[in-house]
Amino acid sequence: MNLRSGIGYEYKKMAKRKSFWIALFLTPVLLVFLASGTVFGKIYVEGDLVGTHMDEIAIRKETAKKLNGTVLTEEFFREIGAQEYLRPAEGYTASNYLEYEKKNSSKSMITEVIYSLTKGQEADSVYMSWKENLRAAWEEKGLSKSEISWMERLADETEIPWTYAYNEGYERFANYMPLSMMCMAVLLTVCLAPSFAEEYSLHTDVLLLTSENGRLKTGAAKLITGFSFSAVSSVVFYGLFLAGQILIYGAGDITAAAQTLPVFSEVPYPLNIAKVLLLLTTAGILSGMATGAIVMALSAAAGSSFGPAVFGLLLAFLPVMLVMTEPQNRLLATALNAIPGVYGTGRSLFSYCLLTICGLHFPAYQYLPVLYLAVIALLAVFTGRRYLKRQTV
Amino acid sequence: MTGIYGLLGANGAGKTTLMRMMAGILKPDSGEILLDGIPVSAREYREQLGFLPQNFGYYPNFTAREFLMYLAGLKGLSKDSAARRSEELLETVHLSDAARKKIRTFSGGMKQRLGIAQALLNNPSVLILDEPTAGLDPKERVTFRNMISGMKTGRIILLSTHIVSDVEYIADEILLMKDGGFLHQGKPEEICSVIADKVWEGRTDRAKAVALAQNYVVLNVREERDGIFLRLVGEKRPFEGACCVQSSLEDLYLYYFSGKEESL
Repeated sequence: MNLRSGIGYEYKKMAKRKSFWIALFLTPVLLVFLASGTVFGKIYVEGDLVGTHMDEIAIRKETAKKLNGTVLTEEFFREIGAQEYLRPAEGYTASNYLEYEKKNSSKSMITEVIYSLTKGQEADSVYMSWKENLRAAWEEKGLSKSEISWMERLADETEIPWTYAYNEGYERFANYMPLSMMCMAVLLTVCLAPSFAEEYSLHTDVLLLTSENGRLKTGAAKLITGFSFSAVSSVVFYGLFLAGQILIYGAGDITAAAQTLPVFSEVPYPLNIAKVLLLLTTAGILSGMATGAIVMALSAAAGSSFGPAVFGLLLAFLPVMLVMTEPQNRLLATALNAIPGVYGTGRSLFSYCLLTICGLHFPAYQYLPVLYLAVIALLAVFTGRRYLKRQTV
Repeated sequence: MTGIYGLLGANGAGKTTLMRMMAGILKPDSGEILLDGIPVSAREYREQLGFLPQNFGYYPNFTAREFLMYLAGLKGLSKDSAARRSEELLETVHLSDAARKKIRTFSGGMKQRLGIAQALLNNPSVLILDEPTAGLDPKERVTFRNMISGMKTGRIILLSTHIVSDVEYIADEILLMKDGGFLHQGKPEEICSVIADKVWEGRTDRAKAVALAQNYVVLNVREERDGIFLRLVGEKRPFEGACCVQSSLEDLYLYYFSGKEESL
């Protein structure tokens, strides 16, 4: 039996489990349910239904047609800042709410950008305020002078002024990364927890280990199946979720500076949205592969699927809570950012925790993937050894 | 060298441990197990090995054919020969009609037959069968026993059991195990000679029978109208009227594995 055929059989074993199909169906449904509040909700003014979120999105998309491509100069920011919000004299009613939303949408969409860069403070220059805010944050977090000047140099490399593009879909995608990764981790845990442990509980491990190709080839086939499933399902999962966001909010312009999205306003690096999306999805895939590697390692070490499944589910849910906390201790913050499920969020990828080697600084989005690949490789070796050294009486 | 070797011993005697060591899935505390100079951990050994473990494992949602095809692949058979061999073996173990059925729907006997089929996929020169008849009804046991007997040409078959009749009729050589070691080894008739002239049968009263149980291993007790019929093992004639009879493998087994206090 060649390796490809072995992988085929491992997928077959997986597909013959009911839990696999239940998880495959339920996890996307769970994500859509959790993420649908901001899309399918309704808007009420003093108890009256005035519209839906889809109406609001339609207004913003319509406004974006006029705003897209606008160069965000200081003059433009001042012009928008000087504009007053239009409010109906009689107050908001069910009949005028959407009309005034439409009238104010240009101002509110640009104000969101200004607010995220200036942190709501009055400023003569939005860009200067952005850089000052970044510096203040780095100083507060205890970065060295060398690190601050390195980060400042990168911030200076961003091509200012930026150009506006309506990219709300990508922002939503980034905001929902922790939830997406949680759902992905649940799916991977349910599907991979039995990969080795099931052989032990079904007593088929003895048949595999006593057959000619049942050791190295089967061990390798199981690992490749686990990792390929983690990677492919992550690509499909995040790809479909991103496609859904594009379908709702539009494709926007992925060449726009990442900082034009409020969620990435604290990123000092000269990255555009395309690169940020690529970094996010790559991190999400690596995060999924690491979850898969941990679950498989536990599966190889345990006697049944229960333990690995419980641990995997904890690993899936814990980051959603941890992502809210921000430890002051830098080592702790780095460790937290490296946890699967946290790694893959903007906060982890563009963290202030730099790695410095011989005076060279490396941002988290560069060193964390290397660390992940090393950890995944080590876990794969551990898993293989545990499987091959398995002895039962 | 080829033939059927019956490993006989009570539960906990070490039969399964020995078989697992011989199958290469359990490392001995000391020493090495070799087949013609090949260690049991080597791939070359596994090429020649067929193993039916005590708790035969299977994938409940696989069909019998899928299961055999998978294991045939693991045993190094090409796709074509795996298909051919699977069909042949399904025929041999009378499972052709159930080839497309999921294994979870199989009876205990069908599962054991599937187990023997998988062990034979690679036409092994060493076939290790750990308690293959456990859980089978008497008819299935006889069928199974005959099937194993028909496979001994050109291969070494190691059969472990605690059911004496499983090996009595088909084993060429018997290895009697107790506490992890061998008590005796030899052909069934040779091994039975250990207690030749020591097996006695006769009728006596209850009080005498109870007293005899202190010094003899009682093999069989039957309440009768005119007393108690006893079959026992001992050096001397146990009572007047008792006659010496031919020993069997079961007598030998009971002699070693039943305590005197359990006899009556």
